[in-house]
Amino acid sequence: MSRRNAGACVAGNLIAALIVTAAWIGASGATTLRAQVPYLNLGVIGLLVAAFANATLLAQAQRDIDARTRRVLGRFDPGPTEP
Amino acid sequence: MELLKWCRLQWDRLAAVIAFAAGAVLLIAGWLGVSGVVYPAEQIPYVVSAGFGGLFLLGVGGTLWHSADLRDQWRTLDRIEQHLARGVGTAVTPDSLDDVVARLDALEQRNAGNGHSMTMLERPTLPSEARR
Repeated sequence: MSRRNAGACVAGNLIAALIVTAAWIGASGATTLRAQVPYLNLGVIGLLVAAFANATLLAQAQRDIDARTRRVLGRFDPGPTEP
Repeated sequence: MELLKWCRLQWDRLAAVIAFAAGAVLLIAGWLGVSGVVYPAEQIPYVVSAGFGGLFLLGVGGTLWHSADLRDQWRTLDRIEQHLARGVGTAVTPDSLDDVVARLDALEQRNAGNGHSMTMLERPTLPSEARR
């Protein structure tokens, strides 16, 4: 996991937190359910942004580990095989 | 002092536990808030703030914990590569190879436990294993 990937994940989560906070402020300022529904949707979008940022980071880290494991295993001499 | 040392080394797991706890508290607070008011228009702000906020923190906690697991695997690979680097140019004993194999097996088991099967890697048979 590189610093760049981690930074992108942190930035994604900060943006998501801002979106959820904006949705909260908007929903609490509206008085009717009809006016609150768009802010509810905005909150869901914030959660999706956070989920995407986290999943991207973890998937990239897992790919890095798999590639490195293959590299390490490739350093072993296969040796003689069974006839 | 040991606790402080552990906290410094495992800062991401500590942050994950804190995020989990904060998320759980937020969800419970949201539940109490929603159950205390009658009108849906009063309940929605609780859903958005405490409900979504709690879910967000649970997600952050899960990511931090899984990230710590991946970091452990990365360090295990570091140790194996150091072990292999020390073996270059010197005689590699069956014991040292067995040690490396044991570590690789542990790593594979951990990966399998995390749902990341590494059966596609097709680890080659080592001389020490072929002799068994």
